[in-house]
Formats: sequence, C-alpha cells, structure tokens
Amino acid sequence: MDLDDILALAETTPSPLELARARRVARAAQGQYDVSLAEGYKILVDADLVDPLTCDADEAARVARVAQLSKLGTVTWTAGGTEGVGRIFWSDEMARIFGHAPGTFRLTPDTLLGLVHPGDAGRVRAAVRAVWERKRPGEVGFRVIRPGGSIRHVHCHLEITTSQGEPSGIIATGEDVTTLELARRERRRLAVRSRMLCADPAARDALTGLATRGYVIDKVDRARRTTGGAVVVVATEPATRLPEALTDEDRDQLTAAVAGLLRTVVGSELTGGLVGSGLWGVLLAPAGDDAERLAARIVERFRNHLFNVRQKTVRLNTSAGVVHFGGGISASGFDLLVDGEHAARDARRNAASIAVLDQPVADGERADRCRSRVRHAVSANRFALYAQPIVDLQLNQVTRHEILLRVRSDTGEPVAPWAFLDMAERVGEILTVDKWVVDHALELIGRGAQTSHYQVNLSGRSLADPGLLAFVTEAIDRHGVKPECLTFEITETALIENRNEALAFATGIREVGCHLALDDFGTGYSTLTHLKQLPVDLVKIDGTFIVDLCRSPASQALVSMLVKLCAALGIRVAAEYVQDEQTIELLRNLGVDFAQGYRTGRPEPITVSRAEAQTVELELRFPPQYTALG
Amino acid sequence: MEFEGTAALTTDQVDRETARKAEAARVKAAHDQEFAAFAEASYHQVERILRSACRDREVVEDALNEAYLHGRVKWSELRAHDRPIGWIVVTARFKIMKDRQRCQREAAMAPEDLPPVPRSNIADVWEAQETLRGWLHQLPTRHAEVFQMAQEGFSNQEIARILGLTENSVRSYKVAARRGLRELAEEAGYTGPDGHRRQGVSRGSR
Repeated sequence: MDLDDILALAETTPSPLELARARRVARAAQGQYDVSLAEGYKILVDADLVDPLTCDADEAARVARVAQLSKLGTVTWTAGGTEGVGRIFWSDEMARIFGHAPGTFRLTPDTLLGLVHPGDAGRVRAAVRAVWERKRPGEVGFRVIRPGGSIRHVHCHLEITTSQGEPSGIIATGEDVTTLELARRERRRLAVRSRMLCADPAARDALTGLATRGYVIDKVDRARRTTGGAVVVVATEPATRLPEALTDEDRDQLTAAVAGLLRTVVGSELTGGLVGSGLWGVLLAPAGDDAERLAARIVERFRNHLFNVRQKTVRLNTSAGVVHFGGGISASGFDLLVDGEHAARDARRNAASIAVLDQPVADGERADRCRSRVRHAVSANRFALYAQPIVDLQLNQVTRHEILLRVRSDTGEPVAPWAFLDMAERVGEILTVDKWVVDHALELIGRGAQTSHYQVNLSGRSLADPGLLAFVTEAIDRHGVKPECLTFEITETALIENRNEALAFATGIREVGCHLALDDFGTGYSTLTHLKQLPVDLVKIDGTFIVDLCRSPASQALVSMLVKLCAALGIRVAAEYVQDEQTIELLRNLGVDFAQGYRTGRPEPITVSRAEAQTVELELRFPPQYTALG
Repeated sequence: MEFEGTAALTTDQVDRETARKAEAARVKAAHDQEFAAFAEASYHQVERILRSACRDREVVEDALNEAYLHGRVKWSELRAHDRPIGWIVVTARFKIMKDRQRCQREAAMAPEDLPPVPRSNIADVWEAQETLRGWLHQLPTRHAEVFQMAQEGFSNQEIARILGLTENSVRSYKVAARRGLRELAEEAGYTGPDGHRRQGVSRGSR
C-alpha cells in the first residue's frame, strides 16, 4: 500500500456519516431560515455575494481583495518594462503592519527593504529574488522596525502573478505574527526548561537507597517546628577490626547491606537515612511513642545479623539513642540528631542497648560535649591522612594529589569525616582540625620528594582567624615545603564570615607562592562574587554536576559554561567524583583541566615506609600509575 | 373611472397577491428542495477541504453551520453562481479565520507539538481519511487546502479564486503537497510494492 492507494481509498463518495451530517446541517439551516421568515426578522449575511468563480479582476487585485477581507496586508510589485524597476505599492493594512499611516510613505523596493530589520533584509531580498527567478511561490519571515523603534515579527507569502500568460509581478500577503512568534518561543523555552530541569536528587542517597543526611535533618527540623516527635539514632560499628585490605568498595557494600536491613525493619513510611559514618537516623513524627520499641527492634535485629564482607562475616556492635522532643522547641534538627548520637554513645558505654532522652539536651551542654569531642580527637591524633590522585586531562597523567582527612572511630577504623567536620564547623572548632591537617599534611609532604602538587583543604570559617596565615607560612617553612607545590582548597565558602580576613589570607597565601582553590563550586552558597574578588587559581566543580554529567544535558550546560567563565577569568577547572571513562572524555572535550574520582584513583592512606633503616621516607601510594585512559 | 378602476383593481390585486404568494411559496419550496440537494451533495467536500487545514473539528462544524445558514438565506442569489460550493468554502473559511484571529487558537498549539499520526493498518475508508488528514495537518496550510480541493475535483483556476491565490501558486502548492505527503507516507512505511522505483522518482522530482 502506498500514498496513491491511500488517496484512492480516502477519496470516495460521501460516507453515510458524512451524508447524515450534511442533512443535519441542511435541516438546521432550513429550520432557522423558516423561523426567521415566520417571525419576520432578518438573518444578517455579512459575506460578499460575488461569485468567487466568475469575477475577472486581474490576479493581483483579486488576491489583494481576499487578503483585505482576511485582514492581511499585501505588497504588490509589478515588473516594469525596460526600466526594470517596476511599480510597487502596499495595501493600507500592510502600511499599518509596518507602522505607517496609509499613503504617507513613498514606497520603492529600497525604501521598503529599509524598513526591514537589518539582520533580516538580506534574507528577504534573497527570498524575493528566488521567487521571481524560479517563478515559484515562497515565504519569508522577518522583523520590521517601526518608526518609533519597536520591532514586530511579520510573515509573508510570496506569489507570482500572471497576466496574459506571462509572469507579471509578485504579490506578498503578510500578517503581523509577533504574538505567534512570542508564543512559539515561549513554548520552545518551556520545552527546554522541562527537559533540563532535574528533580532534586538529594532526597535519595545512591548508595543506601535511603534519604540523604540533609533530607533527614530538614525533616527532623520540620517536625520540631510543628508537631514534635522522636528521633532514633542507631550507632553501628564492626565488633572486630576490619582487615586493612578492605577497599572503599567493600566498606560501601557493608553500608548498603546495613541500609537494606534497616529498611526492612523500619518500613518505608518513616524517614530514615545515614546521618554520619556508622550512624543511622530515623524520625518518628508526629507521635514518637513507639520510638523505644522501634529502637530496641532495630538494635536486636542488627546485633543478631551476620554481615558478609569479602567472604568474611562481620557482626556489628549496635546501640541506639532516642530523643523525644515537643513541637516548637529551639533545638534544630541537626542538634536533635547530635543528641541522639550522644545518647547512642552513652548507651554503648553503659553496655545498654538503648538510651532515652525525654527532651533535648540544653544547648550549652551539647556544644560543650561536641567541642570536647573535637578537641579530644585532635589531641589524641585520631585522624589519618589520605591522598587521592588528580589527573591533568591535557597531559593525561597524575600531576596532583588532594590530601584528605579520615577520622578514626572508637575502634580505630578510619571513616569518612563529613559528619565530624560538619559538627566541628557548627560548634566553631573547625580551626583546630584545619590546623592539625595543615601541620601534619605539610610534615608528610616535607618529608617526601615533593614531586607532585598537593591540595589541602581549609574551611571557609577558619579563614576568619587572623592567625591562620602566620600559622600556615610558619608550617611551610618549618617542614621545608615548596610553596609552589601547594594549593589550599577553601571548602564551605558559605561560612566565610569575615570577608576582609578571607581576602587577607587569600592574598597572603598567594604572595607566599601557594595557589588558592574553591571547593564544591556551584552548590550551597558559593557565589560568583568569590570568583571576582578572591584571587582564586582553581575552581573544583561540585560532584553533583559530574556524577550525572553524561546523562544530564543540564549538567553539561552548567559545566561547559562554568569552564568558559573560568577561562575568561583566568581560573583553571577541576571536576570531582569522576566515575567512568565516558565522563573523562566529556570533561576533556569541555575543556576541564583536572579530573579526580574513583575512576582516576581512590584515596589511599599516606604511609611512611621505613624500608631503609634510619631514613624516613614518605611514599605516596596510589594505584599503579593509572592514566586517565586506564 | 378611477373608482371603477380601483374596484376592479382591488379584486385584481387580491387575485394577483394570492397568485404572487402562491408563486412565492412555490419558489420557496423549490429553493428549499434545491438547497437541500445542494447541501447533501456539497457538504462532505467542504468539510474535507476545511478539515485539511483546520485541526479543530468543532470550529469547522460551527463555520459550516453558519455558512450553510447564510447560504440558505441568500440561496436565491447563490443558485445563479457557477458553483455555489465556492461561495460556501469562502464564507466558511472567513468565519474560521475570524475565529482564529479572535482567540489566537493557533498560538495554543504549534505544528511541532502535534501528536504523531498513529501508525495503524489502513483497512477502511475512515482510517485512510484520518491518516491522510493527519499528514495534511503536518503540511503548510496552503499546501493542504490546495491539495484537498484538487482531490475534490476543483480546477486550478477555481482553487485560485476560492482561496485567493495566484494560479502559479496553486500549481506549485499542489506539487509540493504531493511531495510532502509522499515523504510522510514513506516515513510511515507506506512505500508500495515497488518502493525503490518510487523513491527514485520522488528524488528525481525534487
């Protein structure tokens, strides 16, 4: 079956349905006409009664007349004789479309083109010429600049008129399509917008399938502002020390397994998620009555479960803290989770399975406890430093390392520090941690060969300390580190409280010879003002734009524009969370300078190998020389 | 004389009046019949032509109701036209155009947002017509109207006059419409038993 068959099938005598409609319409018309006669009123017919088939005006006049009835404007051009210019005139409606009163404008082909937007005039001229040369109709859309300077969109059909069998001219039938054009653009914009708009992926954590920490905190915060309720915080920790050989992947697997078990115990109605390393929060609101029973159930299930890691079974020491809270209390969602964590620790210390707080702890007491925890961790050196390779995408080799912090848990297990750092930042103890990191990192770097470039993190909040610059420069000197091998990454730029001090540090550290970077750029409150005012050398695009880069056109748009922006400002760009080859290729094409992530190398502990007696030599162990191409 | 004449005229007048009325009634009855026959014969063509260009079926029906009503009112003049159907098409098209200008209906849906023509096996007349209409709606309005009018047997000159186009345009639009339809048909998989030859032909004519 092809088009001709379809046409033949469609082109038939009227179908019974069509005939029925015809009769109905005829009857209705007849009926209304009869009623009008009987009741003596006239049905007004505004249409012209000329037989369209017999009128014999010339073609241009005929087309212009129909256009006028349809409220369309016309421009008629009649080809001239030997002069070649011909005659041109427009209808009153067309004059109005161009913003001129009828009869006030001396029209020639050139003056007419002069009214067209300069950006479109060439196209209009070409379209008209093509129509005339090929003797075929065409159409053209263009902008018109009215006398007042306002711009309208106009669309014209161009047709060849024929007189006595010879092409005699062109008639253009046009209308003001500005409304349509704007509507079309708006439609296109909305389509792009909806394609680009991503649902907030922060609500679910990819690894655990549970709510993210931020989401849990927000939920708890909402509950304390409204109904009140209870939070359960469950602390889990491997009962035996995990073998050193475990990779991050194995740890992630264990976390995912715990999350799965938690889901089965808690069910899907309650909000719950990972709120710290080995810390699970569950919110019960509005009624928190069942919290103790739920906590006991979770603890019992967790304690009795054998988790598998690398063909080994692991038992988890588990305890839980329960915090009841009323509606409208002053303690924030974050505070309540900290209270829960402290309660869980207390329970463990007392060898109980759960500890219950009937109300949140007083603010001062909580802050004191947090501060002393941070200070204790610092003084007891309960940290470990890791290094993660960073690949220069132009050279396709590792040229840099980021020094990362790990916090040792009670059993000495190094865990991700995000919850700890968040707490330290909130209680104003981050400076202590940052100083520890700078001192120890520089010490390790100074002992090594200094063949790489090292990136060390500093919190935006620490920059407010007037003594930080002196501390850092002193440490650089003391450990004999080449300053040009150092970049300080400012994390949590939202927390820069004292712009003057931050600027003084930034300027000072660059005078020493170090570089400055902004971490997690593009999320939180990282503003473009920083790029203008701080002497930044490197911007690290936040991982949320990188993990979905290959799938998300929105992320691609943002990253590519950020690269252009930074290039214009003289800033280099790095991408974090790079997880596959495809992303690397894309980043390279977008012009990103550095890539960092599991694909290019996982963080490895910085170890001091004591192979040769006496000499202490630092060796940064990273996976066997990965290049970006694997 | 005058009085006599008046009396005589009066009876005469009454007679004539009665005769005139009877004649008028006869004419009206004849016109009624004529109009009914005309409507029945022309309706499907006008409807197909209008619907080839206007996607909104209700708008077409409203326009047709009004056009035929006005046609009936003015039938005594229209019946003298070469083909009264031309006047009906013109009148209904103006009505649709005014409607569109009033509510910017066209702005509500653009051709690029059109639902795709459903791919079905064309087994009967109705399906063939629906598929064809779906394709016509994807063509420029002028092409679709010209094509459908040609399908309904109008000559190029008639089409040019009814739609207010030049005859040169009608010829071009017809060719362009057929080419567009063939492309759409091939895209939908209707290539005929001898697809290669036809494709070659369509490429050649471009």
